[in-house]
Amino acid sequence: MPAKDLFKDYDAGRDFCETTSKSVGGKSVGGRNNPLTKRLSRYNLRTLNQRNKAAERELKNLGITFTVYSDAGAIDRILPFDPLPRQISAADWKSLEAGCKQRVAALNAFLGDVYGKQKILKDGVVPRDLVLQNKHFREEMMGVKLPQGTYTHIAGVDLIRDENGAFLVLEDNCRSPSGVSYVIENRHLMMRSFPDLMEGVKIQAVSDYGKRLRGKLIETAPPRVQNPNIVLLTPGVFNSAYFEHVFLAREMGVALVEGRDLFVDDDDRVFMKTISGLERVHTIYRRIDDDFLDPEAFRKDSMLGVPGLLRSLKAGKVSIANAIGAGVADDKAVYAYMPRIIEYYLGEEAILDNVKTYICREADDLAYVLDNLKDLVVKPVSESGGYGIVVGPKASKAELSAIRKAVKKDPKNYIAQPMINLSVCPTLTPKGVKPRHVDLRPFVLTGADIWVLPGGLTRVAMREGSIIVNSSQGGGSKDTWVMR
Amino acid sequence: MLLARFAENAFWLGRYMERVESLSRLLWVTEAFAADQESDEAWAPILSVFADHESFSDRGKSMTALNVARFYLTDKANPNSAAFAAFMAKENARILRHLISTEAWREISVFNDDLITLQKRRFALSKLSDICLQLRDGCYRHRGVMESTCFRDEVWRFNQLGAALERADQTTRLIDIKYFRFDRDDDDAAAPPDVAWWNTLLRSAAGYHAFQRRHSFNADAADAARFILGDPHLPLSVANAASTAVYQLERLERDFDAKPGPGVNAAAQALKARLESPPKRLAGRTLHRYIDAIQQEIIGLANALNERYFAPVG
Repeated sequence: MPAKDLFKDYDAGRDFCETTSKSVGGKSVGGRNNPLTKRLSRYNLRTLNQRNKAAERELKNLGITFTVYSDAGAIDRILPFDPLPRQISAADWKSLEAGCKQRVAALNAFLGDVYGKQKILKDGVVPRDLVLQNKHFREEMMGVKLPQGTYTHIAGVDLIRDENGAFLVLEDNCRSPSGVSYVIENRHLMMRSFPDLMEGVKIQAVSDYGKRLRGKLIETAPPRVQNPNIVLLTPGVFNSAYFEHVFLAREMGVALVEGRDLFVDDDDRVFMKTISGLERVHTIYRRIDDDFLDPEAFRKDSMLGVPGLLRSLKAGKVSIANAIGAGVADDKAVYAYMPRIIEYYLGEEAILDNVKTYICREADDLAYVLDNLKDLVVKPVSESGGYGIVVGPKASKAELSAIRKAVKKDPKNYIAQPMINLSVCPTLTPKGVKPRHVDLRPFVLTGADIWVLPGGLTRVAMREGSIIVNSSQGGGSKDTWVMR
Repeated sequence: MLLARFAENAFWLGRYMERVESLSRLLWVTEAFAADQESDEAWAPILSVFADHESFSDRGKSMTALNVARFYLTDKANPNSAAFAAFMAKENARILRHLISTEAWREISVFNDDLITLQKRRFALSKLSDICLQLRDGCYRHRGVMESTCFRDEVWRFNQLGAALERADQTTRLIDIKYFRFDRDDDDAAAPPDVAWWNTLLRSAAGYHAFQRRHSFNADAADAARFILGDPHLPLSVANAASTAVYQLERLERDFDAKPGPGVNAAAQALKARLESPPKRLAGRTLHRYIDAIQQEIIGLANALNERYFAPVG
């Protein structure tokens, strides 16, 4: 072993390491004998950091960025990139893939039922008010038949890995999950900037995502439309995910339109405004929230939407992905019921476990939560973006007593979960290769059948000890290798 | 079929990049000539050419070479500056990103970063000609990358159409500087620095050597003006730019069934006719008036294009 072995001081401690730990009953990707680890150990830290800087500069030049607008103008920022890939063994992937397919099949069945006969509510498996009073529930969609019964054409399943290496679902994303562009661009960047790290390694390809997505959108086009004209509807250049919209439009070879480019006529048909007049549109992959999609049906003040889209959808003249009202399935409270929802529709046990979730509206769970507040993470179900979350082990006495009061007063509004430390992955830092926490978001496409992009987006908390992987808080990303 | 909005963005991407290139040329010519004159007076004509006297004096800066140069190079609040045009080019390109090559976006992006660096550095006058050349080379590079990598679709045609129209317009302004500088009150006698001036202009328009080959003996000022205005083989000539624009319209109709229609055709014809019938005397006030008329035809064509292609129906 050479003296400057990059892995010499690597120590994941009690955390589960994606590269060096062996999961219970599972297989690791080879630990120190992993060909990548072996190869990396011969590298010089300074050159590796320099090469990574150059790679990041190229990301900026190529515009693989999110844009921050201010008075000073437009600033293009990159998502920090880590060149040490996260590897997933073929065996682990097989079960992850099956688990994601199962979960999304259940999510679509659930949505079809909720906007149809509502059997699951009648059978009392999921509380009625949880669904019908949910802010993402759209009354307007009741009884609307969708091609292939698909509601969440593009879903993102957020996964973490616990101390034993078990994959757990943290959250479902059924509306507009983003990040897939980074999955593919990270792979391109690896191939361009670190071909020596990839040489001879057998990895599943990710490059046909655009083709697959297009395929799913064709499968879910309005009835009797053979060759649908597909568009991607973006809020515009000011949206922070604009690059991803550009990327997907390019990969699918479809027009990237804004609301003002579209028009619904009195016959409920959707058109786009071209240099030679109006041209029919059949399928819209929208990256605009329900609220802003159609000022005729939802928020009247929306400048981003297209008046009449809902009308056209109901007339069966346009398909919209993801469906209006799909958000009801990725709600935090509904999440807690997912194992039961899977069982209910598919008659199967969930392949991927939820993070253990206590539903405060149920008496036993409530009692447990109140007894163990200081060890639990309590989340209000109606909030998103991390608002109102109380992390028991880190909370003050005053905070704990405030949350105790709030949970007692309105148990329906709360769920609680044990504190879970995310797994770690060897990550390049100026001080050497160090463990950093990661999560994983596989992308799942549904049309006539379900397909999962091998791997997904691995986000990494670049700060030591941090478990916050969000890009707004210093998170970066890694290439994700599903081994063949 | 291409969205009307994208056609407009492609058109303006072409116009703005061409504007940066032309500004670099205009400033270079002014600087090159002013160096001989040792007078800031040489810089006033640029303000006249763009009708910018008012917005320049709003800034409360004295009329020095450096202030005018900065006003046109790095002042982003000035809509006639290179900094503004480059920024707008990038924002138009941003909207077109899924339709232009990744190479083209990369190049526009890097070019803008270079300009931002320039804005942060408060450059000295002695650096001006270097900076102008650097800008110009950036524009050449842009053109090369576009030419080499962009798919020849409607986006390309509208981009080239915009570039051609802007080039025609900017070349007339380049010629017009002389009127504001020397000829204002005198329609007859050629001003003393005539030959030197035209030579500088020809060099900036990459036409000096070609002009020498075409007019080796007894060339006079009017020949130079005629050459820059009307020579069909000079890339920057107004006539060449106009016929490139007409060619793009033909290709839009032929390849993409996007017929220009009567309004655009009439405006294009009017511009062509104007260029084919120059006045006998191409100097002084006559030349200035003629240039003014050409600019009006160009504006007419731009308006007709807007009406036909960019104003969305529905």
